[in-house]
This record gives sequence, C-alpha cells and structure tokens, in this order.
Amino acid sequence: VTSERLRWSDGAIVAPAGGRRAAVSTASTGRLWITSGAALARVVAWVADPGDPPPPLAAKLRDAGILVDDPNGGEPFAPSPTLAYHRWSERDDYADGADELAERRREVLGKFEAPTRRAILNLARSRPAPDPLPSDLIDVVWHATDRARLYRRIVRSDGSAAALLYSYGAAYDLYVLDPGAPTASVLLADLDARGRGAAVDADATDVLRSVGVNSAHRGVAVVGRLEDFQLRYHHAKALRGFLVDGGRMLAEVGRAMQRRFPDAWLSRAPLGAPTCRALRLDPATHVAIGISFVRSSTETG
Amino acid sequence: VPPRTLRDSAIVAAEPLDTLGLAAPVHLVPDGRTGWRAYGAGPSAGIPLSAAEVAACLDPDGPAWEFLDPALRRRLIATGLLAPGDAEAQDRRDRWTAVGWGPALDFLAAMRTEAASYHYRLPRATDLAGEPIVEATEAGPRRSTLGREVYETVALPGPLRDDPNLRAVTAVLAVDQVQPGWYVDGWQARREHPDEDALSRIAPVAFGRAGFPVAALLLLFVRCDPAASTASRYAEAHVVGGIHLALVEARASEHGLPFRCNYAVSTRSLAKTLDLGAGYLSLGAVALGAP
Repeated sequence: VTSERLRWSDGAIVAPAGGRRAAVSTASTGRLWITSGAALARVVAWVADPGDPPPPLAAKLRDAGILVDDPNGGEPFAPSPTLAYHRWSERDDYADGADELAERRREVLGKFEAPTRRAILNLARSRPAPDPLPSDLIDVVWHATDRARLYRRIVRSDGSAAALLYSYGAAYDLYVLDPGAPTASVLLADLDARGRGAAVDADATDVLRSVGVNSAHRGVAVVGRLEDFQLRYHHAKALRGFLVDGGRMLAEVGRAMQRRFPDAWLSRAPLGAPTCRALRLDPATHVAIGISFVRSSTETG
Repeated sequence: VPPRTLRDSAIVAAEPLDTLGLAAPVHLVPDGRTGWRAYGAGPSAGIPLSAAEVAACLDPDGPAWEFLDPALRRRLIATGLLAPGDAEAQDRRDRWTAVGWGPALDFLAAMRTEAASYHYRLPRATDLAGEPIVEATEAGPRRSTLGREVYETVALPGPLRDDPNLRAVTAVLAVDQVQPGWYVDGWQARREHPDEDALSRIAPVAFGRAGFPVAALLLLFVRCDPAASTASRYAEAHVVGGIHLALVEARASEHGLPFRCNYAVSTRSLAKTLDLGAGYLSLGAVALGAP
C-alpha cells in the first residue's frame, strides 16, 4: 500500500474479539482478521484521513479484501446497508448452516449455553391469556397456527439440540384486531389455548390505520420477534429466514381468514415501525410482517 | 453467545474507564469514508460515530481516547457499546459468529427509516386450485398419478403466475414417467442444465439429511437487485417469497404430497446457469416427496 486511497469494502464489519482485540471481516471474501484494537484504530483513522503513510495493517487488510482500492478517492462513499447485508446473506459457510453430515451444526448447537436453552424454551411457552378472542376469529387463529403449534410443541418436548432451531412457531405472535370490541380491541393470541388471548394496551384502529386501513375493518397481524431468531442463529443470514418464515406465517393467516371471509385482504410487509409502535412494541426488537384484514360488515364464507 | 440486553448494559456503567473495550455483541459498520454506525446489544438502533470515535473505542489506551466526548462516552456505555473488555472475551473458534447480526441490524435500521405498505389481494380459492390440466406435450411430462399430483402442485397459483418479478423452477428427480430435468416457469419447457448434478448435490444436503426422499423440487426466485433496492423492497421480496412458498406447501398438502420447505437451500448459482436473467434472489425451495 502506498499513498493511494483505500476504502472499506461493502459488507465490512468490525466486532470485538475478546480483550483488546478486534475482528474485522468482509462478506465479499469471507476473510476475517483478528488484530489488536490499537492497530485497527490506526487503520480506521488512516482510511478517514490518509495524509500519513499507511499503517502496516492496511496492506494486509487489502490483501484480505477488507479494504479495497477506491479510485474515486475523496468522493463520498456510502455503502448500501441492503447490499452489504445481501453479501453476508449469500455466504454459505456459516457454522450452523447446512452441511452434508450435519456435524458442524451439531458442534455449534453443542455450544449453546444453558441460559440460552432456557430462554428458547421460555419463548416457546405461552403467557397467561385470560381474555376470549372474537368468536368468528377463533378458528382463523387456531387453524392458521396448526403448524406453528406443532413446532412449539417440538421445541418444548423434544429435548434435542436440533429442536432448538425450530423457530417457525416460536418467533411470531398473532395480534387480533377488532376496533368494535366492547373491551380490549387488541388481543395477543395464545397459540396454545384455543380462543384465548391477552389484552394489549393498544388501539386496533391505530394499528389498522398504520397500514392505511380504516376502523371499519378487523384483522389479524403477524409480528416477528427478532430475539427468538437471534438466540438460535448467531449470524446475519438468519434474517432471510426470519422474513421468509414471516411470509409463510402471514400466508397461513391469510388462507385461514379467506376460508372464513372470502373477501379477506392482506397488507403485506414490511410494515415498518408505525405498526409496531401502534402495538406498543419496540420496532428495534419486533418486525411487523403483515396484517390480514376484512371489512367488519363482511359476510362469512 | 446470546445477545445482551440493554438492561444488562447498565451493569457496566460504573466500571472504571480504563478497563473498557468494545462490548462483545457490538458491531461497527463503515458508513462512507469517515463515518461509522455502531450497534450494541440486541437490535439497538445504529449510533453514528466518527472515525476518531471508532478509533477511541477500539483503542481505549490510544491517543484518540482522551478526545472522546465525555457525553458520547457515557452514551456508548449506557447502550452497551463499551464494556469491560476481558470479561466479554468470546470463543472465536467459530469465525462466523464474529460477524454476528451486525449486517442484519444495519439493514433493519435502514428499513425502519423507510415507509412502505402494500395492499395485496389474497388469492381466491379458484386461484389456489391451480391450472387446468393440459394435454401432455412432447417436451412436457407424461403424467402418472404422482406426476399429475406434482404437476398440479407446482402449477403456479394465479398471483404467483401473474407476478412478473417471480420465477419458479421445478427440478424433477424421480417422478414416475416424467423426464428428470429442469422445468422453468411451468411444465412446457424442459431445460438442459450445464450442471446436471446440481440437484443431486442440493437435495440431499437440504432435505435428505432428515431422511426425506425428494421426488421433485420447486425453487422460487424473485427479481430484486440488492445494489439498487431499498431495504424495504428487499425485505418485502423475502416476505412475498414466504407467502408463495406457503401457498405451494398448501397445494402439496391438498394433493396429498409430503413436502419440506427450506429457504436456506443454496440455489443462487442456478439462477445464473438457468439463465433466468439478472438480479434474481433465491427465496427457497419446496421439496415434494412421493405420496
């Protein structure tokens, strides 16, 4: 490396590596470099202001593809979070990914600590749900979650390490939205107790309005909890599965709604922060996947 | 290593500064030449940092540390970005956990800043019933009972068929009286694939490990250019993919076919070798077994 400009590659990321060390890596080559924080700090400062000769580590990071030549040196450079994420999500060599003999995955699962296992099991358990769901939505919620219930049961009862990765049922909540309800207009459905839910301190009208639907409608919202995936999968690629699985769950809710209400609609995701906020959820920890809704006056099928 | 919560980070707030280092779940993502974004424990929002501030975090003994704004220092501690260094040492034998959820958190933070909402008409029951059975052609499959069931399952539901951004490829391994191969966007055109062994490599890894006998595999792709796409659009593509994968699964169930879904199956290279066109994301696959 001489005096030419370098920049961080798309998908570059820095994370602590224990003690005073830091790990810097990039999705474009999959290379990871663990070095002292002090050495990396000098590179960070030099990339931002390359007036001085480059620190020795810069050449090594360029060889690893973590730093790349920047022919437009001096021009603003703003890597897209979408592209950077995509590059990471395309890598196949995550330790808990699919390998032919599943040995690597078994090894990773073996490292799950007891608190993590307990947390995963707790997330698969229901919370108290004393309130009744609207009678015509009971079957919708129950049948839309047949498969989710199966997976939750496996997580709770199987006991095997592999079962810990069954996230389909445990990572998503269903919120029943009924602006005309005499008491709570938003109920968090209990997926293990038919027809039961827990009142949520939120207004169904606000939730529906967050996706452009007025209060003459009712519906069921699918909301994913990121923590449940983060506990299981320790890498960014799992977000793809989180979103795809959310779509599968939303489709199951939509099909169940349609069986009951032929004119049901789907508001598809990502609904973003407004819906989470309307549900009194932190949009940094939850992702609203979508809502299946129908006019309140519609006839059932 | 489970993600720490913000509540945990309060524990470290009283630690003397000279023992601080980057906390274990922290990720720093470059944002331009001089800017960075920092993510703490859990999916906390990205905190913008300058290169000098990042250097200070990386090297608490270095010269940049003394210039770190005390208010920012307190904020970094309160949000769990800085913590006692040695106490947070991680097992780095698995090099990929070093990456953690950083890129995903960065992506999600971008998505939260975008407003996107779509209304999508649910497919009607008639759409879900599939295509009417057509006469077998020279190029298409001759359908046995299983062949017919597989055919009806992967015949695209209306909304999927009408979506120009979606492409479906069916790979046949062992369906009675159906010529093994790759069928793109329906049954009419079987394509030669330059890598004929690809499916036999994919299927056992993705599905066979669980002992599932794959007879055919439906692979779903969506057109989306990550370089030009917003985070919302990119996320939406995956959610919509999940919706359609679920519809295919439902049809398999209605036809009495066992099935398995896998969105992690690596089919990226297939989009290129099957000449689907540029910018297709692999969304996942539904494997169909014999009834």
